Amino acid sequence: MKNNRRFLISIFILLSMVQCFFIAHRIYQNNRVLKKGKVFLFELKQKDPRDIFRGKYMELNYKNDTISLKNFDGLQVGQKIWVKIRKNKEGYAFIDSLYMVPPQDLTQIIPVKITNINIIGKKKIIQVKFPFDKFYINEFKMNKLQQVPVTNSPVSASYAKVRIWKGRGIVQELIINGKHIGK
Amino acid sequence: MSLKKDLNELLTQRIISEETAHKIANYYHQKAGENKSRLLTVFALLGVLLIGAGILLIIAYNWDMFSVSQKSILAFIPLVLGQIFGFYVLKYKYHSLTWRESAALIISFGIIIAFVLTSQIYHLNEDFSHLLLWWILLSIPLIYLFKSQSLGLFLFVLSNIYLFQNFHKPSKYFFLLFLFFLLLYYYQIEKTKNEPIIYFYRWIVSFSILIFLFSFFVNPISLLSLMGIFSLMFLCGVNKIKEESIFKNPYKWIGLVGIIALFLANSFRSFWKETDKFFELEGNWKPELIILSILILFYLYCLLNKKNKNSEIDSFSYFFILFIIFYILGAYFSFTFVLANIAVLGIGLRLMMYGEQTKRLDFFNLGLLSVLILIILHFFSNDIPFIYRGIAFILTGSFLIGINYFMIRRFGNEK
Repeated sequence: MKNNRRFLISIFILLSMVQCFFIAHRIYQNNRVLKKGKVFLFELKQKDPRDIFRGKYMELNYKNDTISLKNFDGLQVGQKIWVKIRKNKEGYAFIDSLYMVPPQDLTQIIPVKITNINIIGKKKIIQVKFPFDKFYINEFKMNKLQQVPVTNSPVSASYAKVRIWKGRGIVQELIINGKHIGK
Repeated sequence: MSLKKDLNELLTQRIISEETAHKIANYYHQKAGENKSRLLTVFALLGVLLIGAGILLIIAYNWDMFSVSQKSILAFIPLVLGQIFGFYVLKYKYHSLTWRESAALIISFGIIIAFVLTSQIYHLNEDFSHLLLWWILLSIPLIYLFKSQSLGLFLFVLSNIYLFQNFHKPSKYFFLLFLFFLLLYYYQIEKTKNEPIIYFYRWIVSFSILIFLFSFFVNPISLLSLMGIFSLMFLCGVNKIKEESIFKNPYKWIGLVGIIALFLANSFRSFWKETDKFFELEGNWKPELIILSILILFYLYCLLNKKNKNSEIDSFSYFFILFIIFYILGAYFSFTFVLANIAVLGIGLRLMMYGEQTKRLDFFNLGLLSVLILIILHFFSNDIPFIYRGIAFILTGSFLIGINYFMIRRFGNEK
């Protein structure tokens, strides 16, 4: 009987370690992106306040979320693809190229979902949704933010500072109208 | 109080000895104590659920004065505290139901709190079903370690939510994994059978299995599987469970109504026209075929291992075999729908006879209803003038009322 209980307790300790490992792994994985990832500034188009039980968050819509292609078939809305991110002259991020399967070298690569395909002449304009489109915000700050529209002048820029590393992207900071919102 | 009075009376009348009176009083005293601890368990569990939800809401406030690493450490606290509590319970309070149940629930909530916090800290955009998957997988061992019936029930509910969110995705197969471990646990508590919570289990088990099969409702094999499940439920409900009422024994009634409903669906010619395509079996039907084979094996096992070999009511479960034969016939002959009509009529009459013999009005009415529904449905589907349809409806309605009145009086007289 006592041996039985000892067995139970050792299994329980093992299970607790497994449970903690999963949480620790999540934290480690994401922390690594914040530490080692390359910084990109994603210019904001608009924000959309939402509310779920995980907390209040902004749904972020980015300006440069399209890529235009010629002669590229076999893409569908909802499909998962991989894109390479680069910086433009103003220092903001844009989609440089598109991959159907994840490439060998994952630097500056993130997985995205196709949300829209527009055909203009011979060109196909593909709109995607980035995986880092949520930003959790303190609920009292959120109430103040809700009334403020997004502007994009050189003096008061609105963008998300995103770290990208090995196929993962995490929003590190959010700047709306030149003001730092949170991290 | 009245017990004491009764015992005194029995003592003075010398019907029982003083020792027996003492024993009886003791027995009822203990029983009252058990009831009290059960009530305590219920309130303890409600408390744990509320506290868990409260912590989640406090987290949702988003404490942005902490740095990322500070918040990461905070994410562990509820889980680790829960685990320490769990360790204490396993070591010192293992025999208390209340402690075990609360510990299991607290740890399970600790897991989801940690997951939600991490996704908030790093602004992760994940599906809730993804979190749900890990929550369930990491919590399932807890129900075995703590013998926690409430957590088991809770995980059944979560698994169903998971299935609903992944109804058309391949990730729904994880539900099978959950179901396997949860059913294994359910089987254990079904064997002991002394907790009222078992009735809730029976309902959620029926619900989970049916929903799972419906999510596969894409080809004919799933229809056969559905029939198999209904027959199995019915067999188990009749042979393994003593209770009769629909609340305590959903298997019997869901099974029986399901068998009748499927035969009713088959009694239409148009149904079998659709089934021509059934045997072409396009697409990915292998998982369904595996499920069906497992069901048939289970069914045969239950049929061979039933306790009372000559029980009359068991005969309804043989309709599964008949159903399979219909399917094979239906591939070659167009008259199979006529056979299905006869089958429904047969089941209905058989139920009525059984109800009449055993003086069970519920069986009798179910039989009667299945025959009447058969008639009514066919009146809708054929080109019959309204006036005849109206007359037929009135006649069947009056027949239903009349025969019930007659049967109630008869059963009442004989009792």
